Amino acid sequence: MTSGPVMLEVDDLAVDFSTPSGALRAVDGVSLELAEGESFAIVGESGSGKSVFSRTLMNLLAGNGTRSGSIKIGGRDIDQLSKAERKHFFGVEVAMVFQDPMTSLNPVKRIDAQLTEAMRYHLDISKSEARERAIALLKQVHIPSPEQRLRQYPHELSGGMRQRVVIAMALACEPRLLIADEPTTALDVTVQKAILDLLDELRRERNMSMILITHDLGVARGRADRIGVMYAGRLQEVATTEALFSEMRHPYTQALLQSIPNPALRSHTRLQPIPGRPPNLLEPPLGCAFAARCRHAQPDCLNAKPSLAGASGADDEHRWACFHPVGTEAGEVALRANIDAGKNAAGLDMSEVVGELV
Amino acid sequence: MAGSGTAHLRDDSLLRVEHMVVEFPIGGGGKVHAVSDVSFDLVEGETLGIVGESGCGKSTTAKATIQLPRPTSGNVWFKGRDLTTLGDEELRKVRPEFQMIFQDPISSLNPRRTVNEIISEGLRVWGDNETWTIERIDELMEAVGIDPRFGERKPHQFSGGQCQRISIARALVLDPKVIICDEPVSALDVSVQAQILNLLEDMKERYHVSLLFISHDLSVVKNISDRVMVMYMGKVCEVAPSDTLFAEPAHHYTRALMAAIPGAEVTVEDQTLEGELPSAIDPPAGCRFNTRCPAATDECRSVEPELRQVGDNHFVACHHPVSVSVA
Repeated sequence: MTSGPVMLEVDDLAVDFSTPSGALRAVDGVSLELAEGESFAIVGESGSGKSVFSRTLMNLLAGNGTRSGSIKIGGRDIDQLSKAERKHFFGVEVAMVFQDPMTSLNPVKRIDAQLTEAMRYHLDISKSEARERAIALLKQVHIPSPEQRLRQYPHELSGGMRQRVVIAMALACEPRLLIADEPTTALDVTVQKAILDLLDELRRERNMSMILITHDLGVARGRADRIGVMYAGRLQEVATTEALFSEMRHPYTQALLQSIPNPALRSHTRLQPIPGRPPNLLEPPLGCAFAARCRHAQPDCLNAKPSLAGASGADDEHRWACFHPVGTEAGEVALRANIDAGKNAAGLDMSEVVGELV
Repeated sequence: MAGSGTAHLRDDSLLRVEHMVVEFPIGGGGKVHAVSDVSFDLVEGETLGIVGESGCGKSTTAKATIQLPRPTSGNVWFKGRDLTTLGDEELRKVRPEFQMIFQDPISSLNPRRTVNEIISEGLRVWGDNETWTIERIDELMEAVGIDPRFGERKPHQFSGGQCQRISIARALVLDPKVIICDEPVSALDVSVQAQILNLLEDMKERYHVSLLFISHDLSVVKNISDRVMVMYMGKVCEVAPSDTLFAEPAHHYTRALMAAIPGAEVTVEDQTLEGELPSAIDPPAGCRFNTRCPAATDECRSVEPELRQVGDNHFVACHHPVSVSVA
């Protein structure tokens, strides 16, 4: 389904947390394949499990979490790594850029110390070599006068500059897979564009694979080859960016897109919110997690979880997890039936969800 | 932009801010020029969106309008009175006409109070004890979509979106004329964001308030505003009706902002702003945008542009505005 050598292979990944109020499954059966040089965006709202998923790839699971399923990065199963290999695997082969550049930098250390620390640890190079590499890295992330910047503290840099430093740190050991977890959420739109442009450029230059985690479909749209939409710990739809926007199949993807103000529409255009709230994962629903908020939901949606599959099976490039997908006959029939009944199978009043469709 | 001028002000306004300047002193005799000669107005029932990057003075402008803090200079006309000249007690009496909704819905509600207490506090301070009843609170809770049975619950028992609904009810309880919404949906998920934006539109209709809507998100601002004011470094760049601004942005900064909207099909050329925001302690001479503007000339570096009309209700502060195809 993907071209080129496989960079990342995730098979049936599940992450469970034991919390004081009970067991919680944050990631539920996610399978994913990523080619070398490919950029994949995971889009979801808060609590959808997208950050837990990305942290799990970095082996950064919290102490009360357990993982099942396999993760292969660059062909190597991370469970098979020896202790010594593991030490120089995370942060080297796969690196991460976090959301908030202020809290991911140490406020009492200068930029050079933070930038060279990982290189010295992982790559066994001398101090002066590390410094040269640091300067080269800052140039690559387009920081002007890098020699001076190296001597500064994080608070002396603007938010955009700090995020560039964080990206430089992530790139220091030349990772083959970069995970960017909401890299621009804390930044202004103009700076956001510059940072996303930078990530794009670096990915192409280095033929690096990238996973971009974002809550913003717009950000994903311009930047990813493929997009996975996540909800309640499961991938609900996976498609090439183009296909996702032109022929979306999952009602959640559709609802998500419709709830965003579109600057191409006139002002005061009524927005179409998603009614209700995501399910409580401490007491997950038996069936599809989106059914309670879905305008297509039928009785079968409440009893079984649909699996992620395409029109001709689980190997399609475009896959969705829905019994009554948008843009298909089954979906149309379900929607009609719900509109006629006035409510969906979960009892949701259809007047809340149909809006301009009726 | 980076312009001043009052050409865009109208006669029938409810609130009229003229030449407002806000400066904050810093050590060593310097000062931060947070807002420099900004003028705007608001007519009854209108929503004015203010957009700009962080640090451009959009929040300070809104706060100084309600005299929190009092502006360094300038006038704020409201119902025929200049708020900047009012004494503390007189100002206190005007304040109920202005309410605010903040960005973080959870931290802007007192965690130890019940929802009923939070919403009714204004009434307890301002109302005659005779005229308000719990029914008034229930009606408001109903209006913002919170079940009145939950009146005895505390903020931590609600989600972020619900807390923002409670904030809206609290802002409406005194029948204000103007509500200042400072990034009210920035902390919310997109699906909830749409609920709150729709609610604000409904409440505006139902309770006849004007909104001053501050956001860094252009798509959100376009959706909710009648008119939009773009700010950069404490100055006004461009003011226009929302649809006009997005169809025909005339200021180079407005165009750069639009080009940065992620994933949107917009009409402007692709461009990325070079360089960093200059220091607000020592802002550039002339047009404050000249250091990053693709069209800057010597004139821009020495003469500050004034707001001038380029179309119907469309004003821009630029020496070389992008020509608007239809005028």
